[in-house]
Amino acid sequence: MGGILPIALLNALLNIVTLTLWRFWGRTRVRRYLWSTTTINGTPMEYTGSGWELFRSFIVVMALVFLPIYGVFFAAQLLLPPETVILVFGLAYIPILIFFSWLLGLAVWIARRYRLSRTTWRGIRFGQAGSANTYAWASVGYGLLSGITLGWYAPAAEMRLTRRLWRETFYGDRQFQILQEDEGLAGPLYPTFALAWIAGVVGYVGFIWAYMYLLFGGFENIGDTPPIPDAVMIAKIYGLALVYALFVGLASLPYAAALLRRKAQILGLEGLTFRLDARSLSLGWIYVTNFLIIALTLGFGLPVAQLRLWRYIFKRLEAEGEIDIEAVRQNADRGPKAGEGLADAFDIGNVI
Amino acid sequence: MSSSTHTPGRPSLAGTYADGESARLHAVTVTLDADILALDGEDVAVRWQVPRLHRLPDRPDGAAVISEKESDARLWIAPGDRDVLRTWFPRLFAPGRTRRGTLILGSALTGIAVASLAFLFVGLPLLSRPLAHAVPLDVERRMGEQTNQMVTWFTDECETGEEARAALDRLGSRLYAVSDSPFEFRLRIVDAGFPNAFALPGGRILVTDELIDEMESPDELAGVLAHEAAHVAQRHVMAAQLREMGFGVLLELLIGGGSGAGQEIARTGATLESLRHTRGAESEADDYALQYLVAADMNPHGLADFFERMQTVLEGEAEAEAEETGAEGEDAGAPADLPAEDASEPSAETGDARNDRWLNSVLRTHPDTRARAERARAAAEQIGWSGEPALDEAEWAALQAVCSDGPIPGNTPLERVRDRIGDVLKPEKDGEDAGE
Repeated sequence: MGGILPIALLNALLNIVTLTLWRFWGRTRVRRYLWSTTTINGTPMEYTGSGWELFRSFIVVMALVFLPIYGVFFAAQLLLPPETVILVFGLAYIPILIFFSWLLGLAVWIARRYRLSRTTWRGIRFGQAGSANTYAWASVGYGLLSGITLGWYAPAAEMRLTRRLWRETFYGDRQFQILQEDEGLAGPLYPTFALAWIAGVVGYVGFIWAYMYLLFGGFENIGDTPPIPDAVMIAKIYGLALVYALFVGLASLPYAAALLRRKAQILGLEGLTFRLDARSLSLGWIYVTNFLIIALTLGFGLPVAQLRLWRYIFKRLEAEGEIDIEAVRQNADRGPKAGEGLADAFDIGNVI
Repeated sequence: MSSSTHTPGRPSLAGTYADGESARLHAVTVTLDADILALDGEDVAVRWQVPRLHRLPDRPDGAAVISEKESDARLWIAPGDRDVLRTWFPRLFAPGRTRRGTLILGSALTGIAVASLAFLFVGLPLLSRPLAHAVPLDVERRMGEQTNQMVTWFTDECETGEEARAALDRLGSRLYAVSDSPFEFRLRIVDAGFPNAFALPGGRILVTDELIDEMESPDELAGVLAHEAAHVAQRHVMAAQLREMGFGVLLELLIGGGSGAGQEIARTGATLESLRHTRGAESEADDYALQYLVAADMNPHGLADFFERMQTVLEGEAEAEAEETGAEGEDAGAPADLPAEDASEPSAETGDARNDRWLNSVLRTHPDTRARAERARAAAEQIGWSGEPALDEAEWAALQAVCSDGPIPGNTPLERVRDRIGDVLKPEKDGEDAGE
């Protein structure tokens, strides 16, 4: 952890004086460190991306995607008759939502392709093939299905999206495989998911119930005008929200750990299979301490938190089987020229 | 050159080499001959040109990583050989090399950031006035209509009788005649639970019924309307919208859509910045309002009267609050009974009260009401006036009656939404509705 602290501190300082313009270079340094401290069979991985690539891509996305979107919204406001503009925006709400979630899907895919193409081991690149557009539409569709099923489709959606990404992932000229058929892809996840879902509903009802009790000072008074909350009341409400978040968070840990295990389990590369020994308690410890690190440093400790999660995953990841590494040839795809501007705009570029 | 036997005495290093073609690792012997770096091993005989070499960040074990420009190949050399590398490649292994790079890049980015800030805080406000005046009147009118519709959708509308309508129109046209406003003033009373008046872009001025209830004479209303009319004439709202739009877009361009701590700090700065300019515009509107009142022969004390009334209301609220907290807290009594101006005595003022007062004066959009009242009063003293009230008693009574019966029944925002959706679902009716 010693090596990441100077990086995190320098990044924090430079992010302040440059009004966060440093973030592209800062992120690159964090990645370079994380990758280089991750060794596989004695050889470390290498991150070959640069801050310029991220910066360039950010500029391009702002100029070609977000300024035009902003322009369209503004023009619509000016050009539509005043009586209809609110209505038009009201009716366009769902299409706009779908458009942005499609854009988000694109961002995830493009950012992943960039990162994989900038990751090498023994001089050989990783890579992502397939289509960003197909992936983005799949994520929109799965998102809708999850919504319609009150969340019950979410584990299947998550696993299907994971499968889509990994079966088009390459190390050099070798392609990763998905060892699990369609059927039962997310099946083993459902017991833990059910726990999380039920806890979510119970927790929510309990939260509302306790909130009402606090606010009105007893159930018999519900319906009166609530008193204006004072500092003590607000502190109590925040405390309540914290208890609620902890309860739901704890109940979701088995699902989070199961998801990690399952993702590793369905993966294969040549003769290799993978096993990730993620457990609820150890993962929960990482999440809680990471949350504290980020909160207490006002966000500037993010690299340290990322390092801890990253270490956790790699320490518990095991590969079994045979692969003729020396026969692996270079990946012909050099990857995109620029980085992950779209992801940065959606604030998902922070994720390692 | 092709022989891999070394001249005795010339130093050689052991290294690990990946050729960037396959994932195989090779053990190699590395020698330097003038401008050529030779890598030799089983199946390997590579010649790299020294000027094309570049160095990558060291491995965590301290091993140096060297490559040729644009190549995927990598050569790793153990940390023990660092001294030899330093003599071989003084440029690549110069101490403080990355630090200098960071310094140059960091300074350049800081420069960009400072320039952007300067533009946001100085350039944009300077530009916003001329730009606002350059906006076609048509466009501003449309934006005003937009906002007016927005307000209509989310507030209740009251019945404004014919007499009240006529009184409002008369006030509006009298002020219009003496201002150099490019827009006629269209006044409207809306039902809302708080006293306030707003100027929209394009000449619309909204007054809440609560505000009229607070007032004791039509001259006060005239004073407030003159103030809002000045906002319209000076196109303050347009300038503020341009400023905020430009600020928002540029700031987002700079910080990205992120939600990190740095980004939040920048956004808070933007809010404070916008308040600073609003306050400037308020003082300016006060000055113009007095000019209008004089020119239209309306009571120049109207504005000062109104500010004083607002000050009394604010003090009343502060006292009520002090009483409430005093009753709950341990030391009930002394501070609550003191008028607000006496609260500046350090002994009577608690830290909280001081903070409140600071917030009141700094964060409030309008400059301190007391100071405004004094300024307006001092200016009014210099001015003569015929003594004619802005409205006669019948007109004033008609205005006060507006909204006293509450909103028009069957015209809540929800019902209007329903009607509007009904309109759209029946497209053949669209033509008729548009004329309304």
